[in-house]
Amino acid sequence: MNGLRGAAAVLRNDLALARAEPLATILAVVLPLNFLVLFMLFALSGGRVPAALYVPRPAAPGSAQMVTALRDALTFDLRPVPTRAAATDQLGRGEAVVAITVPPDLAPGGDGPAVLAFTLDNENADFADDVRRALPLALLSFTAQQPGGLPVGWREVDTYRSDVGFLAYIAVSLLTVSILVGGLLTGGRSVAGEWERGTIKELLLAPVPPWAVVAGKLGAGVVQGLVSAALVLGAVIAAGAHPASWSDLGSVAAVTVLALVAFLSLGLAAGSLMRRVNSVTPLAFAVGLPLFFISGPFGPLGWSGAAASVVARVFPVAYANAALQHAFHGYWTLHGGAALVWPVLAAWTAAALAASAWSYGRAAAPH
Amino acid sequence: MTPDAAQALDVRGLEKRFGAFAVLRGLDFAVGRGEIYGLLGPNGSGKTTTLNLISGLAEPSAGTVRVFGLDPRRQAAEARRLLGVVPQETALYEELTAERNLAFHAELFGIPPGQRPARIAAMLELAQLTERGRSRVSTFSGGMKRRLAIARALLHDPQLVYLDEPTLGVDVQARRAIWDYILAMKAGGRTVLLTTNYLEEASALCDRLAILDRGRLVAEGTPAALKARYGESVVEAELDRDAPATLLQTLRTLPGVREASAEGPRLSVCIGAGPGSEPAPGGAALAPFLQAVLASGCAVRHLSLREPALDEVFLALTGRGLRD
Amino acid sequence: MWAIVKKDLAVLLRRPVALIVTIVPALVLVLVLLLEAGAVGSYPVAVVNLDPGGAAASTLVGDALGYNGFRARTMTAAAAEAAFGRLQVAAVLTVPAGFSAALAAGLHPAVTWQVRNFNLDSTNDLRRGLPDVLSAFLRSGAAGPDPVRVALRETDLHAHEPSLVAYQLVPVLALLLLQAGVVNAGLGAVAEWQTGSVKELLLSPVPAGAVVAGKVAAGVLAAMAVGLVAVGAGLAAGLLVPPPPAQAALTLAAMILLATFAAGLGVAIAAGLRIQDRVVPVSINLAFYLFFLGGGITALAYLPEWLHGVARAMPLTYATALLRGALLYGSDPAAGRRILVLALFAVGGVAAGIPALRRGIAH
Repeated sequence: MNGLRGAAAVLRNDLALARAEPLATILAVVLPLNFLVLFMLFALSGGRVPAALYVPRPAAPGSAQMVTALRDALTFDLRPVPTRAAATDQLGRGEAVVAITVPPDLAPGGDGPAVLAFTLDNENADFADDVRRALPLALLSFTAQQPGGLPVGWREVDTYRSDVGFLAYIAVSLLTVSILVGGLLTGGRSVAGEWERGTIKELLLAPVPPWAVVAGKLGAGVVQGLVSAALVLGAVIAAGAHPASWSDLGSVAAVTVLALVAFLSLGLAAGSLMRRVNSVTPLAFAVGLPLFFISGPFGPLGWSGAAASVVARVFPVAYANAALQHAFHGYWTLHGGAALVWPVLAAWTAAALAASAWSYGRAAAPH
Repeated sequence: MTPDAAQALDVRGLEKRFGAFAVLRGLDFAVGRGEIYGLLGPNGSGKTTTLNLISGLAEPSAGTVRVFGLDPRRQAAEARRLLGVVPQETALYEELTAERNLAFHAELFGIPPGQRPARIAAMLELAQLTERGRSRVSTFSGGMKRRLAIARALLHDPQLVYLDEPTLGVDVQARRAIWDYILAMKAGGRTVLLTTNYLEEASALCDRLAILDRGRLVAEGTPAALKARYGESVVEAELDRDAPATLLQTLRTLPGVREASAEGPRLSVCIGAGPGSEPAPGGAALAPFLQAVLASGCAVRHLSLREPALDEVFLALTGRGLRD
Repeated sequence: MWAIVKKDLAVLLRRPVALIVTIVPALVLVLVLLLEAGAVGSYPVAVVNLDPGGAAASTLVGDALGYNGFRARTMTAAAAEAAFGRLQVAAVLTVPAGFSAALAAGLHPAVTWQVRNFNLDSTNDLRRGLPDVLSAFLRSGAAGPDPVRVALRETDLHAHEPSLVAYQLVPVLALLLLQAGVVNAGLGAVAEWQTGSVKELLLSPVPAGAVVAGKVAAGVLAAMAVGLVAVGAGLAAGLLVPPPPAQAALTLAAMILLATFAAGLGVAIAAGLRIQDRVVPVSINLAFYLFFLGGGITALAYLPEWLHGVARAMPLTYATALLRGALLYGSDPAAGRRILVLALFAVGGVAAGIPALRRGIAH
């Protein structure tokens, strides 16, 4: 009875403190929103390449076919310009990345090879290669429409019925980063703050057991984390991703609570050991952010070939990410699916809880 | 709960070691119900460790502590309900209001919800903070914070209140107000244990004092008894010129003189017996003192004989070396 | 003033939070960029050849294995299916049985391209990759005369084409300068209020202007130290190209001007907020937004039209362009104009810092 009463008192007090100084809660929302901006920019740079397109007039029907092929090459945002100089100007002003000139005499079955000239602002190899790789697709599409077509074809078999937009895909992980960094910050600052201001004595001298203090702090952290997560979820939905069904929303809630308890507990453990707000705050970022970025926010673990993905498989962040991707998009980005992801998350949560109870108990024990 | 032990606090053979370093070495003292008991000692003498052991925050290496007959380690919850603690650093939630700080304490200590508003209001009134109950503590002065910390410690109606340096860093008015609270606690039947570096405060408040040094209790008794037992009469004189070194040497050889010092023309001579021997009356040493001064060729412009101060008792027992 | 510079630098050097707040965000960003570069680069792909004896099939498989847009390796059909199921490969290219014979007979055989279409970015990379491979295959003559009758003629604007990591490293370097200037000058100023040492300044015979100048100078020196170390690391790693002397001087000038702008801004923020717990997150966020909106992540051309205007108001836009010109391409034709704009920003930053700190000290 003492324990439950004490936990409720600590929970209420921590919520009052969070209302008075909501830094951790604000950071748990601001950080993912910053990442949303970052990801939107990634999505933009991974999206259509601005291309100034010059087609001298009059143009043969073949030239129109080439423009269509370029438009369908999954790459270009074509901006027709009236002169070659206008195309060069756009390139010079940094408004276009490539200036393409389609020859006017691309007549089907013409004699010699025509030339498709393009000037490329090759600021870096990656952006330039996107252009270089898109043009063969356009040329093959164009040739396929000519008499004789192509001697060889290809049949694409997609695993999933519809494509998910890049932003909608990477936005899902914003929830993970909010829970991860927000949990570490809230848990760590909450208990380190008690040591720093000396109010730990108020808790240690109260007739309540140590587990009640941990439970109260976790409870308050979960409430704050859920508020942050709800706000971030709104941003994720605005970015074009949403849980497919009510049961998927339930999965999102379950991942959020499990992961929150895990990261809050780890934060509490760190706070109990370090006892300094100025130490746990940078720690939350220094540990949380790299862990987040190696845990597959941009694609499945291992596709990038990074050795870091081996490390990421040890920690719960990758599993939280995978469970959220499943809830939002209906596919598993981690081999093993539900049978692997949920038990790992549950085990991590239990282990983190034990770590927080142990480290607070150790710090609170008579010495 | 009404404790029925004979003593409010009973400390026997208390020892605390951190590795090879002994902080407390066999401490024995008892505090009676309704008594104000002062723990004095230089920095590092073991006062705070003693308080931590009494509240159960630390575990003794040897010996026992009983708070109203309860073991603060094994019967922690019961013992803590009887204890009210005002730590040296006020340790309040400065981002929160005074009321919220008190409400948290009330919740932690299980004061029934129906009684909380009245208890909080009463404590705010006691601390003269009724008007500021809804203000953030961060806007309070040092004295206000100290009063609020005392109000918080009293909120759950503890039987034994310990205050660690209760008037450290507060102004004269606040100090007086805190003294009044402490005396009011005693009047209300509570037992008070306090540590202080202000010996004037200990003299004014405490029924009994214990002086700790290097983890041992070096003296215990009422302030008056301590002064009488260990103190000296002090003769202070102002000469017509700087006191010559030969005069100081002569004075130190006189019977009953324990210390002679000079700052320019100001001369100070402590007269009395050492610890354990019978004290000598100060007046008896006046005549040889004056003879020695006159023999040195100096004239006396001003002369006074006064009772020893507790400071001098303290320094006599613990020495003048800095302990930081 | 020099006394304030020395004191502030000594305090900053002993303050781990300053170092952490300065360097960790930039390091995290480098990590993000490296991972993002890895993620958008080459995906693992399985190639299954069900026409092992066919010459054309063999050529096609060779083209796929040699393609630089993904990392392909040959597998049996069963192994490829298992790898695809375990998410070890992003796509499977299957050359069907009898492919070479069908091709020779003019039967237009089709290869199968099985794609794990998790999201449009990775999927489109894969979708563009196969036609690229097929183009090479057709050019090789293995399928008869090349049917593609249009040749590509590429003209590049830059002789040196840096990697994506090198390209992104330059704005991160500018962010580092910005962050170091804002945070260090900000922390140096906020410490005066938090420790109460502002009284020491008030009671000293030093004019307020010298106090501000000292704090800004300390912030600039700290930022330049961090920035020069980062440039040195970039050069040592071969990501940046050693600039010719004139470009080196311009680089140094741009760095100093950006750091001055940042330090002025940091002092202004500190004077306004006065609590480290507020100054640090506000400074980091501000620096990040100046970075995002100044084309820190992508080339300006990719941004929507309305963002171009915003980017033109960001000092980082000019610093990044100038530094990229000097440290990646060897020249920047618009360097003079950009230095001028950066100088105006530097003056503006200091002009914002002086009255704010003066007001702060006066209160």
